[in-house]
Amino acid sequence: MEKRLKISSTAYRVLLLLQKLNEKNKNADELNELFLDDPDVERIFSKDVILKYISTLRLAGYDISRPSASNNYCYELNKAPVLIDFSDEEIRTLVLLKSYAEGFQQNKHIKNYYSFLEKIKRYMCKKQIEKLNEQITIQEKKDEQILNKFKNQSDLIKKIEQYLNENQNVEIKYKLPEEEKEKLIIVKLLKLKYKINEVAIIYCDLISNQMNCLKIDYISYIKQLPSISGEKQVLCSVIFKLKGKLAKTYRPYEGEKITVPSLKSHELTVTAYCDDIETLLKRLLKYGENCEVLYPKQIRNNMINTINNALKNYTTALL
Amino acid sequence: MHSGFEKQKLNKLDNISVTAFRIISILNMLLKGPCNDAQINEKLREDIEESRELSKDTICIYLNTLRILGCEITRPTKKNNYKYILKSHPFKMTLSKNEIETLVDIRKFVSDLNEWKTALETDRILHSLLNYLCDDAKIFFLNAKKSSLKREVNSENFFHEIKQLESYCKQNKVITLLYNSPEAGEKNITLVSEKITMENGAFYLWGYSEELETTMYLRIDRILDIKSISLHKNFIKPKAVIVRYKLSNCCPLSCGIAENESILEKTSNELIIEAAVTNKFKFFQKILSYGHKCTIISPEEIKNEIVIKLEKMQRLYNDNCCV
Repeated sequence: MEKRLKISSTAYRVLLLLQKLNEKNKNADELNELFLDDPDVERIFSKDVILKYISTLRLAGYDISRPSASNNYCYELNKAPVLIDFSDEEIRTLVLLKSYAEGFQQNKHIKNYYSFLEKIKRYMCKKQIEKLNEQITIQEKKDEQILNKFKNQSDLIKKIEQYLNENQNVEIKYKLPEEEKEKLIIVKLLKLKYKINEVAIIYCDLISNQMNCLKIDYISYIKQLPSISGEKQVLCSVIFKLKGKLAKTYRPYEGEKITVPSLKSHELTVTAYCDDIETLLKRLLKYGENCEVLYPKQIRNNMINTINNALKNYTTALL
Repeated sequence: MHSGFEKQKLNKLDNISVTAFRIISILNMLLKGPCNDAQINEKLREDIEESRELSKDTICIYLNTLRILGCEITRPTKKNNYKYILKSHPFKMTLSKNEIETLVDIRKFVSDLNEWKTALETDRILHSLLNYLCDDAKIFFLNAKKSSLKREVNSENFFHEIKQLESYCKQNKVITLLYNSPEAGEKNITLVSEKITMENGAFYLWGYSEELETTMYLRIDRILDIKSISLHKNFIKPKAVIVRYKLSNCCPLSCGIAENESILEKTSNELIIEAAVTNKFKFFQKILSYGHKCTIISPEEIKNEIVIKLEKMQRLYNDNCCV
């Protein structure tokens, strides 16, 4: 049997209370539930005893708010028991990342980053919080470019975000620059994807069940439909072969698996489960003669056509 | 460490737990750094008026109380100078899945933008936060990182401080480094350092090789050693080939005009771009990625080279047409 350590039970309860309040605001009943569940306590206490523990913590310097209607009658530990010491550069980066979150123009990212910052602030001393707030004011102008990167598309991004939250099917009309006619698709929206200078939606086409990607700039019309589809989505799998130096140094991308390590050390077969075929093909083209698309036939043919058409650019020019 | 601790006269306060107060005092001490029995007693006398000397056994009970709570405290041995060291504590930060996903999405976007400095700083913050995250958040974060940021090269493994390399680049210093080439193995490379970039999660050092008469870019995580650094700033101008190419059906924003490029002409569906090419390999990669939307206009030599590349690609599919 494991030897039980000799401890101070009361002090343990006070410290347990500190630990639990650091995780979440709690009222006296919730604290008692925790005491009851804890194997080293397993009992409940009167409100006076809990108040005594809270008083001990307050005397030790912890800022604990009194329960009131504004905090749902909970005890609230306003500062974490430990502090993180951020350098000036790290504080600047925290503010810069805030600009990136805001630049996405999605409410969820802004909300999530703000709540992250609030949590971080609990672990920062007063002086560092002041620096952070100061930096927010200074950097807002500096980061204008980041903040406004997708501002033109803000309304559409927010609309798509709302549709994503509501999880209903969506009807989309879009037109690609190289095509003359508009296309209509019925899709289940999956997420918004940010690229260097553009935003795209990842969606599941409800006819083919295939996942794909579409730049939101190409969307001319988007409407929510009163229907919800199931969770069945198929990622397009593309198999390609790599050779030479590339095969030796290749680091798989998200959603890629190296399926057949060839017996010849200079070849590699990769399966990419992909939601953005256009970006994948652009990347595979970049690899030149060191890459061959093997499957599916449609993508392979797509690749062949692109190469043939690219060559035609030069033969036509010669003519 | 918590900073609101003030010296107290505990015997005058009956509505608190004196033992808990003392243990909190010890915890705050350990958060500051390692300490031994004598230092604990001295600090308690500072924090609490008329504090009695604690015996070794009492200190042991107090530390056990912290241990049961989840603090990892080493036992005093000769090796640690008979001091107690707080290795970890349970006062962790709880981050929600949504908050973590947003952090990972931002980091990923920073990488896509090739903002290497922001990427490095973000990694440093996330790395130091990891020690403060509760177990669930830590696991979720590491899994999210593993799947969404799987290509990101860990900058902690760099042989050389990247900011030092950046300062060499600013002064265009000639550096000779030992590089672990995937093809040739370890070899010495001498170059005039130019800049640091980030691409697809990896960090690169760019520089001009006088020997090869070309600009090279080397993965920083493959640099094993820096053998020598010139004392003087170098004024060698990298050789560049001026190339003109045409892009059809491409938006100037999404086609990614590089810093060595300029738009010469712009119509509703065409762009004529001039590029000062210092690394042909990189340039060809870019041109190929545009597919049939791109045509090299001049010079003939580069045009022929791209045609040869395209023909090799065509042959690859013609030779294996029955897949």
